[in-house]
Amino acid sequence: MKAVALFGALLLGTSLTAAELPELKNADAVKRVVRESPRTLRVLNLWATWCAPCVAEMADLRTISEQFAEIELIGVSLDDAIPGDRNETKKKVARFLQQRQIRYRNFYFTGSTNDLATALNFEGELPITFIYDANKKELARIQGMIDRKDLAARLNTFLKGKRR
Amino acid sequence: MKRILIAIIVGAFALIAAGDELAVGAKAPAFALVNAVNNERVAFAPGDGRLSVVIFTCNQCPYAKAFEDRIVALGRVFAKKGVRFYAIDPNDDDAYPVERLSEMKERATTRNYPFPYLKDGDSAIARAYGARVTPHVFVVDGKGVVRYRGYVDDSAKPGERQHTGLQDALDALLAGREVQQTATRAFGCSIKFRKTS
Repeated sequence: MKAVALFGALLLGTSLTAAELPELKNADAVKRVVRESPRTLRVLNLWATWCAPCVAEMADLRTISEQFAEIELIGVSLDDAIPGDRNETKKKVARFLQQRQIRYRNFYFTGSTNDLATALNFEGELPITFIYDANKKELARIQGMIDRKDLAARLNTFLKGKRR
Repeated sequence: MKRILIAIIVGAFALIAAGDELAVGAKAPAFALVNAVNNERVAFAPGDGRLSVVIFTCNQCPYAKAFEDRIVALGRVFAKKGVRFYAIDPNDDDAYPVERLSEMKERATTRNYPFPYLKDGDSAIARAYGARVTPHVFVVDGKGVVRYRGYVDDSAKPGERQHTGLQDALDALLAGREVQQTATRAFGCSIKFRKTS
């Protein structure tokens, strides 16, 4: 039933609630979501509602997610890094995604950001976007805001390489 | 001649782009910046024999603000032990008016900062230190050498802290011990560097 509701919310892009925003408890869980994606390429975007450049690039990421059928965009919110009521923060994130009609999968990270930075070997600056292939290999990373055309070009190049 | 010109342009770009994070063991850059609280210039001359903490922080970043009480508390405790703290706001205040001197002054005075709150108006000092986020910490020993860089603590949530990076570094250096973990990953909001022409 929960899955149906989540599917409906993603489809409509209007009714995602905090309860339906899945939590990821640690870095391994983040890696698992990326690993288990059925798509050829997986684009992992770490973001937070309090990060201005993260918010600014969201519409472009949404466009990318809608543009490529062979790619899955996976968003992971790190809003929980700031002390506060977790449920309220989750609601805020869910509301944010709903208002911006972000339909690609998003998760709410509740683990240690330091552990996540270590596991993914990034320096702790948001936003950051990783591109992985189906073999978990990191093909590229973009530190800071994405450039939509540049990201699309890179994804096209990687996809062409995979089709050969 | 053309090659030299290209080399100069590339070199200049490297200088204005956000630099690499200053390595532990490197000499800390000196600075002289305006303190938002009283508009007086405060100079830091690394190597003057005193242990110092340089913290890049700002007014707008919720993650930096989550550390504010902690930094103020550490500033008070370690000031009594002779350690100087310099809080530096490197964000572009034209693009982000909340980072203006007047707003900085209000923040520092209402929260009773026990250290100067300095404006790095052209983000040059942040570039020189290779700071990337707020908050981002550098501990400089009396010889002017960076002995710790990275986060204040590994979590902004007091109950989830496993490593108090800044405090541990200061305790070790004051006791004449080696810092156990000299470099950590500073997490936070990206610095809003002022664009250079």
